[in-house]
Amino acid sequence: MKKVKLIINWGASCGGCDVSILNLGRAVLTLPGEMEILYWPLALDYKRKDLEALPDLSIDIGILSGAVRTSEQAEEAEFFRKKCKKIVAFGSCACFGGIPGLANQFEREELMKRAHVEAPSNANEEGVLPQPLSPIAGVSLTLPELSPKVRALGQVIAVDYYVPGCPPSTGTILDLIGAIRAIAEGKLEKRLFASEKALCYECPRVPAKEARKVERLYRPHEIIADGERCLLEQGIACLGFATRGGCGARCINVNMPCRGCYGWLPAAADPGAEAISAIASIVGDGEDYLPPPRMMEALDAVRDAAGIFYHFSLPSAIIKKERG
Amino acid sequence: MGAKNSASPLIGVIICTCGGQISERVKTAVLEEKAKQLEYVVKVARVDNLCSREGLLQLKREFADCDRLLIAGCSERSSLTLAEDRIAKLLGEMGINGSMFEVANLREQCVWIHDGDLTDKAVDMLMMAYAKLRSNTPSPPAVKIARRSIVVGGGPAGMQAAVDLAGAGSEVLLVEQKAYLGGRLCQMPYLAQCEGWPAMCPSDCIVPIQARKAAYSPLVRVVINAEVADVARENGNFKVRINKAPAFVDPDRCVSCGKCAEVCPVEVKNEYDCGLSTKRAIDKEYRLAIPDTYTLDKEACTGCGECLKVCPTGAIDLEAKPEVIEETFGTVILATGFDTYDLNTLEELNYASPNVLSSMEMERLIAARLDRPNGQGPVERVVFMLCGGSRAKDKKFSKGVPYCSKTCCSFAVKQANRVMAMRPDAEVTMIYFGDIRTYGRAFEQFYNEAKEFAEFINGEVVKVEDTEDGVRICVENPEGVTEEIEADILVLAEALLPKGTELLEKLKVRTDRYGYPVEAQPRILRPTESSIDRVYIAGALGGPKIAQESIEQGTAAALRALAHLSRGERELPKFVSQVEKERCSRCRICETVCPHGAIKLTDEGAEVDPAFCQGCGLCASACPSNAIKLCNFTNEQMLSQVEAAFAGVKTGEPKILGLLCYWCSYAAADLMGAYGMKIPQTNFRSIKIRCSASISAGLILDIFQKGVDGIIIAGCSPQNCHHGAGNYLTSKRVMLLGTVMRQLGLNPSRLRWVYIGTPMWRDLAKVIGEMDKSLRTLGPSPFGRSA
Repeated sequence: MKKVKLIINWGASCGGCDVSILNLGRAVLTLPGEMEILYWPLALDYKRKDLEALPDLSIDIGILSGAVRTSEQAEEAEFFRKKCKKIVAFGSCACFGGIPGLANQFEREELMKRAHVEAPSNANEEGVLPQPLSPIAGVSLTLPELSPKVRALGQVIAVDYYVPGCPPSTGTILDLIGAIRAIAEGKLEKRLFASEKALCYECPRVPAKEARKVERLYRPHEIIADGERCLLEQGIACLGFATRGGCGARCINVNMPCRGCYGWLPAAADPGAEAISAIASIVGDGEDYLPPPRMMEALDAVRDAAGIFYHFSLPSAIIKKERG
Repeated sequence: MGAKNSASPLIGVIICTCGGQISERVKTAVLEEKAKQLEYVVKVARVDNLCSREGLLQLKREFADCDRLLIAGCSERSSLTLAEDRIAKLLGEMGINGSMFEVANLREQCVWIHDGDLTDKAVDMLMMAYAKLRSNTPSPPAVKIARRSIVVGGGPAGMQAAVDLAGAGSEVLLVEQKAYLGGRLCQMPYLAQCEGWPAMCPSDCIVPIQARKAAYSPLVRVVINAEVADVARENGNFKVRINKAPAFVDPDRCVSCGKCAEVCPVEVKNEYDCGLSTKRAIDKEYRLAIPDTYTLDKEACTGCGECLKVCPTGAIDLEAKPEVIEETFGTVILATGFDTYDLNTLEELNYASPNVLSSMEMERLIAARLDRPNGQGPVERVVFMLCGGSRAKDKKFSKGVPYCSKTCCSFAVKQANRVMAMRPDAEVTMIYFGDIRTYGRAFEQFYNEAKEFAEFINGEVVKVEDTEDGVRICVENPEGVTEEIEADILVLAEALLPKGTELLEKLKVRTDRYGYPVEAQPRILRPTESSIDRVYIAGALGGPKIAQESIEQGTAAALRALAHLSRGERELPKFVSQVEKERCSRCRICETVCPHGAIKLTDEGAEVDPAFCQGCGLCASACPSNAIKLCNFTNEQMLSQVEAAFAGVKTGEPKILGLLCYWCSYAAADLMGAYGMKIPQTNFRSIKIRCSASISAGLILDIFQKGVDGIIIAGCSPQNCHHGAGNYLTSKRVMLLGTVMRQLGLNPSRLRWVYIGTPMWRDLAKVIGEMDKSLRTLGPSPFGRSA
């Protein structure tokens, strides 16, 4: 059987997605039998020119992880689209914007200034900022330019399949590998490698759930979570109720709350709004004796609402940064 | 014109000029023309006075072929003549489903609040109502409910409820935890007749009268020594499991001769007598108890079998087995009474001393004509201490509950009067905390009489010590001066607590922080009704009461239950939640937020029992999976209204939308007009929402995306929400969403949450004005631009 031709690269990402592929263990050794990887800069020694040299649409599948933050990443994405029949957005950054997307709370200029001038670790008294073009000794050095905003891959090029997760779980990656041929042949109907239901549906703590209101939320360091009970009912902002399952409840199993890396639920219009609605609904009680401002104390632990409710998805939110 | 079972809607539009009030400012002919052009509209008419006899006849005559009605006229929420209940009834008379109407509120929220020509706004309002009406769905048929009730608790309230239900021909199961009916009533030898007449009734007279009525009514089945183990809502009914202790003595055969007790070798404390006397393991703890039977304390019984030998009727069976009763009821009346505050926790009061009594123990001592059981003879010096565990929040020394237990002052002066009646030479002292709260005419009279013979001391008891012949009580007055009083006994008027709170929890009845059930809103109009449909609360469970007040509540609860029992069905409201089970992720958030206990989890997912649903929409707006929709109030319907709302607003004018809670804030908007307030913001539109919490954060964002510039969400004032705490919930939602907006550089003042109670129409007008001003500075919403 003809091997499936693959190319892989990363954009604005921590590299964890690629590592998670390499971390498959034995399964990774079976890949060369089925697939031919023609480009994967992180794991194999390829350069942009190798990508450029590939004929258009000669590749079955392009797998891109990471969000799009720079001009170079946008170009790379365009190349991928041009060379590949199918594009897979791999990992939460590519799918939704991911953690790098939280930068969208700030203007590009603010970020540059913070990173290169204001941060205490800088020694940059002249306030020099990286420039796309830097003429030095008669040579022009170039750097990719930051785009105005972080974008999810789907906001830059058309994406055929989404594999969420920060990083995608081994189970999800094996699902993808199992479906590679179907994808290449254009036979796979599902477009998203995650459950259609919330993580609660498969949560190991379901039997201990009580359907009770939560007195208040706690910040993670304020409480030691019981290992059996529903984390949300203990006052920990676990977002499993508003997040697709399919991850194998990795975080829950090590007593950490879900932060939403598998993305919002199919019927939700906005990545964070449903979680906001639900958390506000069940946290806090005491209408008969607390004055309204005191009621809000139940949510004091929410110090960074965008960070909690849009942890992996800010670039995909309905609310976009709009100033003036 | 098509038939009523036509596949497409048959909309009738009736435009009322309100005797010229509407037509003075709105060109109703324009509305009429507009309406005629709308899809599915089959009939349009203008009338001058729809709510008149003639107007209503015209409506019935001309619109009988429609399957839904759009009425443009006065407010369906606040109209004094044609509000929604009456409209729904009229529809019923016309053979149209009661859910199939919408109202364009042209009078209260258009012509009454603005000046100038308002045709543009009126057209928008008509179109909003039309947008919604198009997709309304008829309510399903009424749900059949079991025509029988369970009354839990056989005290004064429970007995009365059972008697009244049976009197009206309705079947009742009366469950009592103890071996007899009457509850605490039996333990109080003298009962204040009422709050008005300063006299007393002996319980030995009235308890049997009442208990006989309950026990021997053919429609009441009394189950004693029984407890409700579980109660679940099922298909509109309550499925109840009752655990009944074994009937070691068959009440049918027992003749209460007492021969068994005479031979029984085991002596135990008599709980009925608060332990001041003893009884045998087989005995009748209260002489006049009904059912008139002896009972066996199995834990104390040694199984010697002596009683079996002497029983003349063979009524005793030591091998009797417990029973489990499982039955279904249409209504539940909870009358489980009160508990008393644990006085042992108030260490300074030395309750462990045999000479320190609770007021219930004092009742038994009064029954014993003040003769102490320890052979010390009758008491001569009695000190009463009020607020034993009550009103603790203001106290310097004592713990307890912060509230006033209401009946104790009256109860204590009544007891003081009994002491004087029995021992005119007794020394009586009353230590009170700040004030005496003998409410009503009779109790004040008891107080006045007590003042003749008793000394009243304002202060707090700081220490109680045992002495050779009684107790020494140390009292500190408000000035900080202490004095010591020697007495034979100290009687503590203990705070009262609700009893049977586990059952409230099982039923998901909303309670306050002390465990007392909270009445359904509007509370003033719905005494005895709980937050759960057809679960009624009677007697001291709802708060401390004297016997007569409890009995009043028993009657009230029975009458309210009868409203359902007599019909045998529960009509379903226009707004009912429905779960799309395929989407449900079983996170149980809906179940947690439902203030009316209408949702339970099944293996297939969450399930709404429509017969308990109050249509508040809290579940639908909280569901992260969007698996729940509230019929006739769907997000799609709301958005279609928003799309239609601002066509008449000139470019450049801010588009302001008020999402106003049905109960309070929408009424406040109506009252702006009713009280003659004018606002210049003709760019303001409102949508009547079920509860402020029926709007999800996602819907708010969707509304912004439709190009609305500013949203005001208003709900009931604090502590006044009609659906749990939807107002608080919304304030939290808006706060979180506003924070995200701010973090993303979007001015959060475009979204404003306000508490607007019905009388706060001036405040609402002010908020609309402020929003308008701030939006004119901010300019159009970037949401709309990006959409």
